[in-house]
Amino acid sequence: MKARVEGFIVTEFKDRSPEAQKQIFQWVRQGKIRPLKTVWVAKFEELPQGMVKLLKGGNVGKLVTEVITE
Amino acid sequence: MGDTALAAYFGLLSVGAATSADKTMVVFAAAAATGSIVTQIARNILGVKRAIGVTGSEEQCNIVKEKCGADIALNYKSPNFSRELEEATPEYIDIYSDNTGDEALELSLRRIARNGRVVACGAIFWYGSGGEKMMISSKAWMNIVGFPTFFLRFWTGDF
Repeated sequence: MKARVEGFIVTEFKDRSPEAQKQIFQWVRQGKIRPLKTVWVAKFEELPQGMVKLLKGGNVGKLVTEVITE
Repeated sequence: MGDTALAAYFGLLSVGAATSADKTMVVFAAAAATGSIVTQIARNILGVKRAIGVTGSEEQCNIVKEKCGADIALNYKSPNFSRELEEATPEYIDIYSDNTGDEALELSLRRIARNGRVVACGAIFWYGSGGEKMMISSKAWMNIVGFPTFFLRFWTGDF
């Protein structure tokens, strides 16, 4: 067998991001792509726990933190 | 939607050069931000024959099947994961979207198809282990390098 392993960082594609974003939004409007997210509600002092949660996994889609302000 | 969706888009289509001709695609961390989009592009846009999503819980496996359209969802915490991955990839793996590294990467490299592509998008196991835990066996590595058929036949005695 012969295979290719290639790493990348998304910022390498900065120049093409607007075009990609346009395409992704079109797919979302057409119902072909559904962005998923998990909302975690936390107090400001609990925020470091969010990083622990992210590394542990268990979230569905993007992990979004909603900060409670009193 | 931001960098994670863009990482899915460029990783799969530019770096992985995935097309509808690819038969089997495996996405690790398929329920997470990048993986869930990779799975949906593979299934709903490219229409690859076999989109396999791997996650860490039964609940996430259900979401990957129901919401992302994966044909097969596997739980990497299953004691039989290695065998399940093998059974799910009878035609080996054309594209492997790696977001975790470590053992998942190792197992997938062993199942990589000829001219297969591994898109190294992240290494969450590595981030969580302080950089200690990362290992690829020589067996998996030789699948990347490739051997002339002659040697393979010589070694397996298949003349």
